[in-house]
Amino acid sequence: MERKAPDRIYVPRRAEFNKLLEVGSPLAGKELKHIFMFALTIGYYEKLRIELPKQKEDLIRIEYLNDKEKCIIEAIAIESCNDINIILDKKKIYSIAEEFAAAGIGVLKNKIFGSEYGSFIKSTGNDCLEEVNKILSEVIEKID
Amino acid sequence: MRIESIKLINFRQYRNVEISFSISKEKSFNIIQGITGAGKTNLLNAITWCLYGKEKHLTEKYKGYPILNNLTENKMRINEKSYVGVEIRYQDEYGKRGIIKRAKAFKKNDDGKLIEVINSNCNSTNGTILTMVTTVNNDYDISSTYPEILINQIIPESIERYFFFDGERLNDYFAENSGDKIREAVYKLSQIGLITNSLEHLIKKKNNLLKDEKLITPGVEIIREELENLQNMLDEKNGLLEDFREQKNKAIKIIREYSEKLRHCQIDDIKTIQGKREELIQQIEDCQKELREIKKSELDYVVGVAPMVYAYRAIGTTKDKLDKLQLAGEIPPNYKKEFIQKLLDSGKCICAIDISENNIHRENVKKLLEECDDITNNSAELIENRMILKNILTEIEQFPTNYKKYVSQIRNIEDKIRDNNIELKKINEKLENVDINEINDWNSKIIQYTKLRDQQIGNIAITDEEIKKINKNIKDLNFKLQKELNKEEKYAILQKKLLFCDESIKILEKIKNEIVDEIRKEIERETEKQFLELIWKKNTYSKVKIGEDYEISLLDNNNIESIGTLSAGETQILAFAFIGALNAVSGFHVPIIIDTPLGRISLVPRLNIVSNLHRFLSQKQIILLFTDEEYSESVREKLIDRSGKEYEISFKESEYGSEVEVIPYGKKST
Repeated sequence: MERKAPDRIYVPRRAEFNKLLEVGSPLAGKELKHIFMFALTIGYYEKLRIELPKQKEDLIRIEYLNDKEKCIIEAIAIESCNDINIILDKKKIYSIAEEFAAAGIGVLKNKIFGSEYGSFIKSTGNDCLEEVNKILSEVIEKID
Repeated sequence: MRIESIKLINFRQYRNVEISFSISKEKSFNIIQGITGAGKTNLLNAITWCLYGKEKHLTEKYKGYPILNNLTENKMRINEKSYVGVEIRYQDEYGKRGIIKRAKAFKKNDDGKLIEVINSNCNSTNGTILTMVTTVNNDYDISSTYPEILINQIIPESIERYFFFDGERLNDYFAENSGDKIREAVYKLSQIGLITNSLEHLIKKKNNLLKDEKLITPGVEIIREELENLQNMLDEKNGLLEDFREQKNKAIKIIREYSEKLRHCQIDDIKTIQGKREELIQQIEDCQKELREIKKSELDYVVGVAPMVYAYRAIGTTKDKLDKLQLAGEIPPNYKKEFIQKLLDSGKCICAIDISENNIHRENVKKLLEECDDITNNSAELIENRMILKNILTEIEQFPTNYKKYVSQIRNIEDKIRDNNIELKKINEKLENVDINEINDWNSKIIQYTKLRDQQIGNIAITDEEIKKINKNIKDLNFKLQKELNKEEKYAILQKKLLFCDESIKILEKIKNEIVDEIRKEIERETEKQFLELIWKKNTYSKVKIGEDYEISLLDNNNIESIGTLSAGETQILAFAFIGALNAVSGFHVPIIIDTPLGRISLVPRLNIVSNLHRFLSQKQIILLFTDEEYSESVREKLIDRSGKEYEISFKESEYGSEVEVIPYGKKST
């Protein structure tokens, strides 16, 4: 079952990812892997996943991801397939991540350029705050 | 190629006939005489059927009738098979022998109807079996896999009619053959196919290259122009940046100068106020710097944690699954699958028991292997992931506290900046309201140059960004330029190839035209020579011309076009002369077989033709299929010295059908 692990991540349109690092973007100065992780997790959060076309461009080398980022990617694959054994199939894991990222990049682009200049970090921070508070209250409810 | 013999089995009226021919150059004529309907034309058909699988000279009388001899057919019983076969034995111009044989099987079905038998042995046209063998060292041992191709190299089917033809139809020759057809014949017979093929190939190649050219036409010049524009813009912006910086520095210097004056003025209050103002300005600058740093940390923090928050559901679920596995004692597992496999492979257990043989111990270890999942091999990764996920969850939990800390810090600094600005405004107002001209003047200068400085700082920031963008565009364009330059190299090579094609096409066309023109003129000369020799009206015609459009014309002594006024016999003579000329210039060594060669020609020219045939068909094997009326004693006399073989076709009819025999001339039983 174990297939050869891929060495890089592919996306349908690399230019969309690059655009978010250009001057004028709040994420200018960050790295492509940050844009990828953002796009992937937003895609997952919004339950948006698209089948990848044959035409793909390589985005980043997997070795540039840290353990935490790799772990999040694997967790998303495990949860999406509801199967812990997917851990043996790295190719499938990264293919799932690419599918979520390909869908999530559009949402991320809207968040960055679709709102008032300079409000992206503020709105993302507030969204996360709201989300974590919701999570924590659910956890507390469970404990109770 | 000279035909040594032809064997015909069940081919129309030829039930079982073998005819041998003279291949001698001295006695190159072979005569076969037979009454009308005896089977002369079908002998010609047998040859084209053997070579191409087609009866190319089939008369109306035989169309629709089976090729199988009717006597054989009538004698066949139900389900009995029989076959038609024609075998040509030949010798080529180098003395190499060959056999070409074509056969076709027939069967009588239950209804007594004749049907063709087609099976896996059939390898050629119309369900026939074609075989060709050639000799090596006087032995027939080379069987050709592609006999049709080889036959077409010896006698191309498309020009067969210039070698095997019906003399009676020659008078229609020029009516049926337009200039285009004559041109085609000249092209084919002069064997300039190699040149025309090369031309076609070069033109095709050139068209493909032109398609490529469209794809790689380099945009180097366009990019260079764009780069030049960008470079000019960059120079302009750099110049502006320098001006802005200069003005900013000048403003700072002036601000310092007047601030100094205010700080060292004689009035204590003014000194204190100016001191306070400078302190406030410094504090605001420090706060702004701190605010920038904190906002950057906030950005890094949010960018790092937000993906964890968005993926919380997956992280939580996976962590729960791993916790359960750990609780169940599955991670870490008691043993990994690969470890058990290694034990089995080594044949020795960890407790030193031998498990190499199929015994109970090996069975136990095998059982363990079956119980193990593949995932046990990755248990270390799962344990590590569990720890990382645990840390991520802690980070998520801490997000509200940490984020609020950033928000609070930012708010405090922004408040401080706002308060300092209010204070600064008040001080500025105080200084503006001082009723001392000199102080007012200094203060106005500070205010004026502070505005100018801030304006220049803004200008510098904007220009800096613009320069960054231009530099990025220059970088991208340089990358594009490099790609285009590579294309330009390819383009240069492509241009060379196109030039080569053009030059080659020109040269080949010139060679082709020269060859064709030369051949045309040679054919014209030969035709004229032979026609004037054969024609009985010696003083009527003066010139045969084959125009560049390949239309044949015959000029009389007054240089008037006369081809339309020729009698049937005269036209036949002209066609004869033309075909003779074509054969003379062609590179094909093929026998000439003429059916009813003298059909429409009256006695005097007949004798003239037969006397001269060997001259204009020199070096050729000639097979003439005469009717009894054509092959008169006087004609025979003219030919006999050059005839190697002389036959007549004898016709036999019985109640079952008919067949013919080919017997030496004059031996027919009465």
